[in-house]
Amino acid sequence: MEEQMEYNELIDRTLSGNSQAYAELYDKTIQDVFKNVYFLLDDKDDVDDVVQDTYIQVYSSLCKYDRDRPFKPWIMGIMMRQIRTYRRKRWMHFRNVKKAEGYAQKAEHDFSNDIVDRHFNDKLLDSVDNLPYKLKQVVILHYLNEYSQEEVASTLGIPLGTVKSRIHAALKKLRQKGQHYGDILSKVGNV
Amino acid sequence: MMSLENRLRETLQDKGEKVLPKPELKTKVMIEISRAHEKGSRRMKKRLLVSVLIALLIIPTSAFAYQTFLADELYGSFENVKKHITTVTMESFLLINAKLSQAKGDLGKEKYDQFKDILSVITNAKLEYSNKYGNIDYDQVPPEEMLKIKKAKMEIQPYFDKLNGQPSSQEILTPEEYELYIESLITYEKIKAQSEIDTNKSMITVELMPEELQEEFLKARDFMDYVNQKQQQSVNINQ
Repeated sequence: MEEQMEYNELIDRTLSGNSQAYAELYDKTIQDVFKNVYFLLDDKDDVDDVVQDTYIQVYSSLCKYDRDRPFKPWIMGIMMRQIRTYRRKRWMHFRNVKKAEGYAQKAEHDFSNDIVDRHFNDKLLDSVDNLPYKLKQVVILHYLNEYSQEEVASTLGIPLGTVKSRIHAALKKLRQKGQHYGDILSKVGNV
Repeated sequence: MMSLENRLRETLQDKGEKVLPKPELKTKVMIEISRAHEKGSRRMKKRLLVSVLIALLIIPTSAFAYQTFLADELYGSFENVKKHITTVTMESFLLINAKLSQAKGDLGKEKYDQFKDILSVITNAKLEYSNKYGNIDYDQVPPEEMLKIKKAKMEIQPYFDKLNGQPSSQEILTPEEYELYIESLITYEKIKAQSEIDTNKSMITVELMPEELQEEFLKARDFMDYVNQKQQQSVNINQ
């Protein structure tokens, strides 16, 4: 509640022309916005651009912001729309080329004590990254941001049932991939 | 073995903490915002114009290493500025740098060199005489220096107008009015300095000033508003 009051005060000051207030709003929200855009974009080179567009959009929509709604989800909604616009602009085959390059880079692993564990986590992140966008979206909101299923539904503007089935489908896919990877590991162990 | 859901939560959140935006990103955003702002509300423009090149000097954030800047040519170095004005930060330094790059593009090489020469008079004065918030109390500046600064301000204002997409105040106003305008800008800053307002943090309102300074401040501000309106009218006529 107190946080919301702080936001409202910064918004008032921004609207009256104080750009320093907007800089503070940026500081308060950037970490959340940035990591979400990072996870949701396939091409990490474009993260900065999308984040920048998001903040420009937030700035120009600020006068329309309804104070009775919490601020963070509102920003997240704008961010989601910016990502959608970005994705629409991009063409699929181009994205796939980039993806292939990404794989090549990830071939180097750092060897440390908890290598297997880390390897597993890296694999898991990769698998999340390769989920179809609609599934990835719910996974990121629900598991990264700890949004409840209801909150995910309202942020994305989709029915609760759809959120549930997407989370279910995503977990199933991840489990399949994990199993496949686990099989390989155990074979190596046998050797 | 941890459940997939927990592992997912932990792995994503772990990684999420390690994904950090570069500080330059904030600079980029803030520059875009000030552009949008200039476009959006023309009445605010004059304030911005006074502040954009000079007062942007002072927006706080954390410092970080970066390449060499155009701004180095004017200030020597970031360290040098920082020694003099405590609240100045790397980010504001970057913002000036970005504005200067824009100036370079907008003005062309020769004009830009002129602009830079005049600007360095003003920035040197800032380093020499400004208080910790970057404002100068011109009453404390030696008279011969003051003459130089005023001359530089009179010369540089048309460049500021141009960079802000405004018609030149020098052309719109009569010579007497133009001089009064520059004097108003000087008074405006002087009173900010004398009131010891942290002009980066608070909005500048007359209530923050000591009473004996308020009248002079309002007079200066009214004249700035007048010039502002005149520039605006001139834009409207030409459209």
